[in-house]
Amino acid sequence: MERRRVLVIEDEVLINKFLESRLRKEELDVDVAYDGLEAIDLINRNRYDLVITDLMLPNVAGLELVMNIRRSELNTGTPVIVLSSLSSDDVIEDVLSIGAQDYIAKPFSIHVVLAKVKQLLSLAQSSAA
Amino acid sequence: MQFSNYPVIILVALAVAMLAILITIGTLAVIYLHRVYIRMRQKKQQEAEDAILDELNEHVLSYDSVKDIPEKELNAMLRKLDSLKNHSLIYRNTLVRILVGFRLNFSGKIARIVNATFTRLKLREFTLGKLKSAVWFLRVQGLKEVQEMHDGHSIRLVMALANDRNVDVRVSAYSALLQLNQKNPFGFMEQECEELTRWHQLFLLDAVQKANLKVVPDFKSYLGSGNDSLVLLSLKLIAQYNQLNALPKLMALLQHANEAIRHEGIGVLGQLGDEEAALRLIEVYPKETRDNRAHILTALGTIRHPPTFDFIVDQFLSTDDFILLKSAAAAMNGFQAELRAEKLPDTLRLRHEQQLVIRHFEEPLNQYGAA
Repeated sequence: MERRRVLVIEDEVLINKFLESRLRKEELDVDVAYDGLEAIDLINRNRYDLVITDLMLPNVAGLELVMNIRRSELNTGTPVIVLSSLSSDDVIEDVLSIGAQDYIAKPFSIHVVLAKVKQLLSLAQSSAA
Repeated sequence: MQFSNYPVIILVALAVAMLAILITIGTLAVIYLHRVYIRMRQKKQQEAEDAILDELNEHVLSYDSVKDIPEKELNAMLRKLDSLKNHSLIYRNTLVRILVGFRLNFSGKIARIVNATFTRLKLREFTLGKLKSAVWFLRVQGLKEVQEMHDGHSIRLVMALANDRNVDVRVSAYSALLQLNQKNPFGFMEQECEELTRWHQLFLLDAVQKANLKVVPDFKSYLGSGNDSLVLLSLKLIAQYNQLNALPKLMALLQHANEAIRHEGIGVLGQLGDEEAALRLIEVYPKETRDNRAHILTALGTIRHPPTFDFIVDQFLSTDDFILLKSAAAAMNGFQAELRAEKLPDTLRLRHEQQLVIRHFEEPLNQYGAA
C-alpha cells in the first residue's frame, strides 16, 4: 500500500522533531518545514495527504499559509490541522473559516494529534475512493 | 631616527596615533574572539540539542507511560541521559530547556513522562538550586522552570521568593504562584507595595491567562488599592474576564487623581459599559485631558448607545485637534449607517480635513479596530 505523505510546519525545533519521529512510527512519510516560506516551497512542489501547521511562523503567518495551501495546485484539497497556543474563539473561528479541518490548542496530547491524523487520512482516503 | 628632534606637538600626535591603532587592534581582536566564542557555544548547544532530542524522541517519549518501559531499558535510557546531563553545563542547561519545552507544549501522558524524567535525572534539584542563587536572573530562571514544570512541591520556596528584594524576582514568583497556588493565587495583590511597571502588569496578565484558574476572584475588590499599578492590573483583569458587576466601581474610578487609571478605566468602560456608562463618560468629558477625551470618544464608539451619537458629532464638528477629530470619526463609524446618514451634515459642508478623515474610516481596510 502506498505510504501517506504528511508535512509538519512548526518553528519550535523540539515539537517539529518530536512530531516527525512519532508520525514516522505510524509509517507515514514526513517532510518538515521550520518557517512559512520553506513550507510554501514544499507545498508548491509536492502533493501531501495531510498538513500539520503552527499559526505563528517566521516569514509567513499560519493563516496566510493555510490560504496558500487552499490556493495551491497540488494541495488545494489537502486536509490541514492547525496547532497553536492561540486559543481564543476568534482565532479558532478564523482558522476554520479559511479552510483548516481541525484545530488543536497547545499544550496538546500527542495521542489526540495522532487520532486526528488517522481520522483525517482515512476520511480523505474514503472520499477519494 | 631621533624622535627627540621632532617638535613636541608631532610627538604627541604620534603617541595618540599609536594609541588609537593599538585600541583599534585590541577592539577588533576582542570582537573576533567573542564571535568565535559565541559560535563555539552555539555549535556545542546545537550538538547537545541534537543528542538530547534524538535520545528523548527515539527512546523515552516513544512510550505512553514510564510504567510501559521495561526496567532494563529504562535504566539504560536514564544512564544515557544522565551522562549527557553530566557532559557539561551547556548539556545540562539544554536538557532542562528541552524538558521544560516539552512540558510546556504537551499535555497528557507525554507531560507525565517528561515530569518523571525530570525528577529521576535529579534536574529538579538543579532547578531548585537556582531559586537559592545569589544572582537575581538565575532565581527568575529557576522560577520560570518551576512554573512551567508545574512543580507544586516547590511552592514554599516560591512563596519565599514572593518577598524577594528584587521586583523582577517577586513578579516571577507571583507568576509561578498563579500556576501553583490554587488556594490563593492572587495573594500578591494584597502584599505588593512597589509600583509594577507596564511590562510587569502585562507579564502577570499573561500568567493569569495561562494559569487555567478554577476560580477567578472579583477584581473590583482591588480597585481601591493604594498601589496604582495594581489598580491598573485589576482593570486589565476586569476587562479580560468581562466582570460586568464592576461597572459601578469603574464609573466611580473616573474621579481618580491618576490620569493613567482614568485612561485605563475609560477603555474598560468602553468594552463592558452600558448606556449609563456612556452617559457618565460624556459627563466627565469636559474635565478630561486631551488624550483621555480621545479615549472617551473611542469608548463611546464601542458602546454605541444611539443618544450619544449627537455628542460625538458635536465634538467632530467643533474640534480643531486632529487626535480628537480622528477619534470622533472612528467612533461615528461604529454606529449604524442610517444614523450616520441622518445626523451627519452633508459632507460637502464639512471642512476638507473632516471629509478626509471620514473617508479614511469608511475604507474597509481601515475599519478593523477603528472603533
